Amino acid sequence: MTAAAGERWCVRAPTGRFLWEHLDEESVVYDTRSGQTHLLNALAVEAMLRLQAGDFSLRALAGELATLCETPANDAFRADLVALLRQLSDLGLVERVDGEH
Amino acid sequence: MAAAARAGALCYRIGPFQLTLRSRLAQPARLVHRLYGDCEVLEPSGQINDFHLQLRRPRTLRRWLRPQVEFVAEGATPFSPLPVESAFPMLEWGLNWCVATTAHQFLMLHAAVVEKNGRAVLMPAFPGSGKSTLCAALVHNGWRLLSDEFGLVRPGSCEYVPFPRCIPLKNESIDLIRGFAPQAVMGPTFVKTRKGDVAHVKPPAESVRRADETARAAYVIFPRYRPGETARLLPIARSRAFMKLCTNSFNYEIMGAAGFTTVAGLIRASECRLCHFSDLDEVLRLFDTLA
Repeated sequence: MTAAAGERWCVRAPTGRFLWEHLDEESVVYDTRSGQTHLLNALAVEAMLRLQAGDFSLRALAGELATLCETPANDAFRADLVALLRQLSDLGLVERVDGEH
Repeated sequence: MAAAARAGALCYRIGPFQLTLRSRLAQPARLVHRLYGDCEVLEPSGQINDFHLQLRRPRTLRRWLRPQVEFVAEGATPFSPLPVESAFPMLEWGLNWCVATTAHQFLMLHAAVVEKNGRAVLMPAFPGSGKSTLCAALVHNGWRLLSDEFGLVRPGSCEYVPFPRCIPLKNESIDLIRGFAPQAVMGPTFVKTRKGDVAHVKPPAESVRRADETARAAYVIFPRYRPGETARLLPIARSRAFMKLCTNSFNYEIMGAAGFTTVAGLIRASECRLCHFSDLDEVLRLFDTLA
């Protein structure tokens, strides 16, 4: 899996789109656009909340999340993050700004 | 009551629903009288009923070989005919179908609900859970029956709405409850139905009498019958319990955002546990610690 650090990710039409219920170490989110309910782990929640606020490059998002996780934002971390973003993309929650996947 | 059903229309109320039953078959009418005799009987005329149900013999050639019965709701026949001996189980399944497909004024969770000391326990139904057996045992040992099949909640509420119907027991559970709760009033055993042998436990009269009293959510307990296992409560993450409730609702997706916020409210108001059990005495003692 290769990913360009400059690729940008976003949440489309984020205003009022999601209903959140934060429970224990996981969260449940309801997507009013799809009508689907999803169970997300803490890292996915942190990624989603940032992308709701605005577009992020992979590098910038990895930097913020790595700081949160107290881990280096190295290639391995970015690869894990890409895998997570692709999972969220498969669920229709996030998108590549340029439409790629 | 039985005569009314046979004569034309029996109009009665179970929990929040009013129904009219038309049937000229003697067996289901007798069982409705015996098992729902504590329900409020209404005048057939002048009522706005939720469901208009009918049990009738289909006019197919097969009826000359083997009598059958079909279930009619609002003029539709959603199921294939069954042997006439299965008329009462068919009525119960048919009413389940009517409620599950139309009563969207409620979030409908596929679950039993019992209550004691104002604290309601929701027990979601999953295959092999032993939910109905446990429910029958509880409601004959100090717990109030709200429902064995439908956890009904008005959107945005944390109160379960009673719908005290018969508890259908299957196969080994029938004799188990006959022995464990000999005071339980039970109908006949219908053998080799599509769900195996089935017998219906009458809803306790006190539960029917209190059918207008909602009960506040306090616990979500996922029962699981496991032969030989000591009864015990185990933790389950509330997020996991949330998702399990969503997936076993009859109409969560239809409810949209209201379904989500209602489940969220129930989970916030409830402690969530798994309950493994095999022995009814043991698990009842465990439940008494919840009340």
